[in-house]
Amino acid sequence: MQLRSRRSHFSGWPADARPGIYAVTTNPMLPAPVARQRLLLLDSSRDAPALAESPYRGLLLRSVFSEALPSRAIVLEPALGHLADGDIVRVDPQREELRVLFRPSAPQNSLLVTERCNSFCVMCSQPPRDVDDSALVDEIRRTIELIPRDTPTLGLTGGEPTLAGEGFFDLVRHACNYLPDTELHVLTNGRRFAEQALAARLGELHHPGLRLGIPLYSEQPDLHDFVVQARGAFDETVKGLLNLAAEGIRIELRVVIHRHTYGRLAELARFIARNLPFVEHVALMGLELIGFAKVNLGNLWMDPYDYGPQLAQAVRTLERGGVPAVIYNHQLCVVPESVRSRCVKSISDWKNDYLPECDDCALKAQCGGFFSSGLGLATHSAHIAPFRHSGLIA
Amino acid sequence: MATSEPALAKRFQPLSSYRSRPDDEPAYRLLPFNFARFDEQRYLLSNDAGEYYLLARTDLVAAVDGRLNPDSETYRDLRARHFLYDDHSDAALDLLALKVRTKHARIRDFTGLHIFVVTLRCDYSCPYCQVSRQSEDQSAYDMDEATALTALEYVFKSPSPTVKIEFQGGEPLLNFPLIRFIVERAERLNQAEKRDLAFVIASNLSFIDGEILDYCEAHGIGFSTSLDGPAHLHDANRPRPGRDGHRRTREGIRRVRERLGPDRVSALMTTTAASLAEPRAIIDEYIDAGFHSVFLRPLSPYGFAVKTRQTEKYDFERFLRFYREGMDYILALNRNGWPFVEHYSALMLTKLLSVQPTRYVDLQSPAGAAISALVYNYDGGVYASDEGRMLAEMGDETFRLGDVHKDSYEQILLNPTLHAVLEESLTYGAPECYQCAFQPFCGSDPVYHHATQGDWVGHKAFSAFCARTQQVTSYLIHKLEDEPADREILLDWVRP
Amino acid sequence: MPRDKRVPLSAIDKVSASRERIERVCLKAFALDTVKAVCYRFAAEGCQGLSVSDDGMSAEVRFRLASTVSAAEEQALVGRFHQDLLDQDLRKTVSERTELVRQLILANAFADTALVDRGHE
Repeated sequence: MQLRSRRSHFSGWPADARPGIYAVTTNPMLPAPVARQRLLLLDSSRDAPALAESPYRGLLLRSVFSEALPSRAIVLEPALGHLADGDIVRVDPQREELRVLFRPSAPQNSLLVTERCNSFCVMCSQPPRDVDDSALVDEIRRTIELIPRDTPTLGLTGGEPTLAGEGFFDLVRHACNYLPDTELHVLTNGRRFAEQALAARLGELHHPGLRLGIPLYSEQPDLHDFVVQARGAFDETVKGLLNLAAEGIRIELRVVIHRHTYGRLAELARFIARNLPFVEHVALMGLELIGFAKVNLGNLWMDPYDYGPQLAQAVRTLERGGVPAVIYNHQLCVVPESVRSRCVKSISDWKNDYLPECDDCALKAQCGGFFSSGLGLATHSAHIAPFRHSGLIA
Repeated sequence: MATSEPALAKRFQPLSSYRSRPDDEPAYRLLPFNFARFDEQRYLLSNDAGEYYLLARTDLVAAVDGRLNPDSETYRDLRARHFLYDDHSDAALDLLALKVRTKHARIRDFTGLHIFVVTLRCDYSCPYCQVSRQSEDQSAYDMDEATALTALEYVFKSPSPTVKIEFQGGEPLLNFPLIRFIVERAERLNQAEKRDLAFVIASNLSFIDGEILDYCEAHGIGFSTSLDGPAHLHDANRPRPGRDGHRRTREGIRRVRERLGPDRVSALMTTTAASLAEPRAIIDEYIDAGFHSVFLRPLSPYGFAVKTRQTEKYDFERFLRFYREGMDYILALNRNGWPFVEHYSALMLTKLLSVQPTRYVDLQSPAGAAISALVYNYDGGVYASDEGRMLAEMGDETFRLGDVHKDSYEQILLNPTLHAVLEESLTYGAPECYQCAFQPFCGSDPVYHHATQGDWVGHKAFSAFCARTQQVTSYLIHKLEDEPADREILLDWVRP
Repeated sequence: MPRDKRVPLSAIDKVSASRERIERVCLKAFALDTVKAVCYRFAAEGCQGLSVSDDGMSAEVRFRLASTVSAAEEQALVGRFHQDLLDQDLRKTVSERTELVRQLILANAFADTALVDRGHE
């Protein structure tokens, strides 16, 4: 996740200081060669070591004691007060920007490979921008080198990560080398893997923990193409899936449910079970109400409670076909009882929020609640109701 | 569904713009399929990947004529099931190829079931049995170690990742020392081979004792036995001196369960003329014996069955009534909260609802002869199937592939008769079969047709094998499509 | 066609008294191969063969029916026969239109390349 502080105050940096990626440490005793790669996090400027002797790349200060600041200091806005040891940040002294790229304490970390995309999904939560952000690849390489080896999972997202071309394969290889024990979850529309040679290249990297999350919104080509706003996308995605499967690459299929996709959800499940049974599982997801989903809300929104029957049918069809199903981004009270156990508390801690009626709910701890960003709390099912005794709805 | 109002933001194209096609192109192209009249209103379509669909004849004709409305649910369903495709995507071609390949994947695995006939001696004299020898003390009918050793070598020459060794007879427990020999030898060989190795003894359970059970527990050996129904049916079908076959079988089942656990013994029934009147009693017997499933199999026409005129008394239409009555009863049990499965139906449902290949030897195309199973007889003779061995006992050696003492593995499997049978048994090329809507759910039974009609393919209009597949599959499709409550029950029977 | 509605085999096998029924099929409407295929299918219901007229315009299909077969059953049988002719003709059309793509699919299915593996299950 990325926290952008517009108001951190940079002091005492050379005028030509370039952006860089560094790990945060609270240890003032690191050896010099390592300290040069680190930002030292201090509670107060009073704790700052004498500037001539400090080998640290920079100092992160939660508070200032006096007007005199050490050089290469960054005074953190209160919003970034929770920065901690092991975080990895990008600093741009000329723009006075500090961005958090990785937090060991976060349940999930994802790195943005590019904002460009070859699809234009009507509900996209990360609307694409056509910019030359190829510099991001190098930054991610650097970040990967700093991420601790015992990190369980790491995500690569976009936009469409495969648009980075060679850079994409480079990153997968880099992650394989530096973080061989870390699951690498790549969110991609899979379209470029319709070209078998690209799928083969990914397979040759033999990343042991690689998993691609690929969306498929309908078994009807024209409807899928509409949802992603690209003709031929269904065709490319399916062929990409087959090429990837032939390479033995693990795949999570993702389905976002809204007004356009709920109607034939059971048919999509049947199609997946019969044609794509090699996928590791299918994630049935609710709308994340930011980005284009917010812009197109009137067209897309429907009360998830109302598509309960289709959701239950889809889960049953998949499971009977030997394909596991999980449900993301749905409150427990709006999904049918028969499939409630498939709900995964996927909204990360910082995005979760709850309504007042949730205070009394016996299942609150297991429920992901609502997205706190976007319209999460303003637009929700009309059937939110707390559980009593962990089973019965009030 | 999905007519946008309010509209999407300006940057986005509406659904209708993804549905438009240039006028001068054909609206869609047909993909290969077969069809047959299903009932008064509907036709059944199916394709090589095993997808099926019911639709009215008028829709079928419209589809073939190119007049089907692309905005209809029928069109969408047919496209999703790969009966047609259009300019939006031709992924259907790749998917169909993949599904056909998956359905035939078991051919690559090759022989997984290896049947060792360790003795012909038996304590029973069942009228329909083709092979057993009444006398219990004729060791001339026992397999010896040399034969077993060579046969085991041949077992592991098959590349199959799973190897199931099934001991049959006569009554195999009458030669238990050889079973021990084979099990231990196979386990030793498997240390290097690392296959998924399993053992089953097909036994009447008369001779079960503590020592045998201890051994079976130590080596993970399971049992398969015969239970034809309540005592009066079972004992009439399976005479034993003392007329106590049923009691002994029930006792044997109990003992195996007690010692090895509830899931280590399974039962098969054989349907004889007498059974046909009593499906419920048979199912009740299975429930009483602690089973959760039954396999409603028709009687095969070989051996003693022909000798004792069983086939004359036995009528295909009567079997179908028996099957339907049995299924009605089983579905009612399920509806009332008691899970119970009919195996043949479960097999057909798996074929209807998934592309995963099934291992039932008698419903394969090409035939399961040698590819699915090999039989090593007590004297070293090798047969392409169990029925092939039974036919040989009646004097017809068509399906005898060779002898482990004289022929190498390659010679046995390159037997020209075997290849002729396999080639002719491909339903893709058989008369009637090649255009049959039930083809994806059916298979070949060359031994059956050889025994009943004198050739491996047979004239299917006269084939009870054909009639059975069509009738049972139609029955199940009707349930899946028209009876939601039963559909839910049947869907649970499919093993992914 | 549901098999349990057919004229039973036993009625033909055992009974010696029988009658003949001839159906004429127009060979401008149906290809000879089509008619033959349907005759083959009805062999178990008494269809014994066909002959083609000298001018090649029509075929005569011969049924031999046991005397126990009622007039209503005979009518139903003939009705099914004609329905099957139409269906077989439709099959011919489908087959012709899809033969090439079927060859392509089967060739791809059995080409010697790696199977997609569900092996981790």
